[in-house]
Amino acid sequence: MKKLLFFLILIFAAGSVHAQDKDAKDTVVTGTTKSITLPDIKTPLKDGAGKEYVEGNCNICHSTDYINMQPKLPRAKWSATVKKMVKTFGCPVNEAEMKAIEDYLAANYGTGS
Amino acid sequence: MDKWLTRRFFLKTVGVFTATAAIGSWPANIFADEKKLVRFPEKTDLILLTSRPPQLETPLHYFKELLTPNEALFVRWHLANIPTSVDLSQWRLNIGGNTDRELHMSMDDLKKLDKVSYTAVIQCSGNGRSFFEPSIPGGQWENGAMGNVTWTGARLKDILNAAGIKAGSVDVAFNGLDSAPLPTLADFVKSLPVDKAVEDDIIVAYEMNGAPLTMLNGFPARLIVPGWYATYWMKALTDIKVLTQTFEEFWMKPAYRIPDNACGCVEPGTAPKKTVPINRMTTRSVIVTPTQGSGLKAKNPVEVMGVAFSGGYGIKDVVVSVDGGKTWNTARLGRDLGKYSWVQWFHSWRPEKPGKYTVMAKATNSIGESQPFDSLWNPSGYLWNKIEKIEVNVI
Ligand code: HEC
Repeated sequence: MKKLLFFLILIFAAGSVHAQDKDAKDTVVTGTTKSITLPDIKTPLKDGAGKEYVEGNCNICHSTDYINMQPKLPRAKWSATVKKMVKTFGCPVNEAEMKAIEDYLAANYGTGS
Repeated sequence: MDKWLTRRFFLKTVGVFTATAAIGSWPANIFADEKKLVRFPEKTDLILLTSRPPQLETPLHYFKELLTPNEALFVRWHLANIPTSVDLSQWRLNIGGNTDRELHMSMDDLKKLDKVSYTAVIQCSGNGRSFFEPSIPGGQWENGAMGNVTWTGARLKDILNAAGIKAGSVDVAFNGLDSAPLPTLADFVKSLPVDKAVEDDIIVAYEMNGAPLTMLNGFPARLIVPGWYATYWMKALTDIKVLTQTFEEFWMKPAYRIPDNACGCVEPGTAPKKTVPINRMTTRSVIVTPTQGSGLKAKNPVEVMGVAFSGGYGIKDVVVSVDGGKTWNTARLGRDLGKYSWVQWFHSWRPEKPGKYTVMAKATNSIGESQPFDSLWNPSGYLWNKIEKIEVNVI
């Protein structure tokens, strides 16, 4: 029990120190200018074949947590999504890379159908 | 950074653990819940959907409050280049296009116009998208892409009249400080039909709950279109352009559209023949307490509580069922802050016997619009308003 208590105090202390220096620095008003500093949050993708194409291209316009956030999707939905990123929004990948990305997404974030 | 996240989340979890240990009941899915809480500038811990651009969801418990605190209001941007620094001495609201004159208003100019204030629900078009079946790609929001806020600003109508709308105007387009990271990606620009734009209640707000807007909610000014989904509520507004043609760039067409029929719905998994831009919000109620899977004690009174709102027509009544829809009770409604605000509703319940119970709530607005028992599906996952079913365990 003592050990647990000590552990809890440690965590609370660490958490509050961190919260303090964050609050102090992430929003600054000088004269008529208000500025914020956005946190750098990384949500890792699953390891798998083709991951390098995703990390190299699918983070140009947005963080790759757009991928992690999705429910498990059938391959057809992943294909349509990749196609939208490339044809509608201009994600700079060729056909072979598109295929590798679709395979990666269907294998790691798919429904298996 | 990742480490910090985990620690923060763990911190929260520990907090819940000690609190519930004290009262002796356990939230059912405390460890199953993998939601990540993150802290952004001027914000409290919110649920992370995406980080760049930020999409952050409000935890459900904040809806116990009639007004959503600024630091807890959800965040939703579309394009990665979001404004992180604004100099008010440089910022201007530019109005032009099919107008008698061009205006470049400073914040002081804006504040000289008639000051209007009201409370209105702000809700993302995709709020509740994660509940649709079959599931729909896009922001996987639960119920936290909404909030109830008192907005203060100048009437859009007064701004447009100062510029002078010329004959032949069709649409009014709105642009903000955010921009696309690649030139192939369309800038986020939205439009309203000119007849809608001159309605009395549409304002350019510079305050939320009596304070300047937070940067992530659109500092220094944003459009408020009460009753309509927040996709039109342009954040960090800079440009208003009156047009002689229908505006149909990407974020108006094909994005943000609903099936052109009375229910805004199609057979699940199919595509509509014709679509229209999403517009007025559907009527809905959200159960805030008890929460899904919570454990209650037999013969102990509980307050079933939630919020209800509709697209600008107030709420006439809310009925609550604690037996999965067999019988219904009229809920007591809280303070009325006007037709655009949500209303809190309450139903006191004393479960007699142990067992599983299903709590439901159904709202109806003043023109008879209500909620469906089965979900109405559309390909983009908008308009979610299915009657909720919250399962609780009475011991
Ligand atoms: C040229 C810019 C761009 C690139 C590059 C890009 N995306 Fe996107 N992506 C977008 C935009 C814009 C959205 C919609 C953003 C919003 O509404 O929040 C989006 C949304 C998404 C979504 C959410 C679902 C949806 O349809 O809105 C997923 C998943 C996604 N992107 C995956 C990818 C993948 C996988 C790649 C790499 C192949 C990729 N993106 C590359 C621009 C891009």
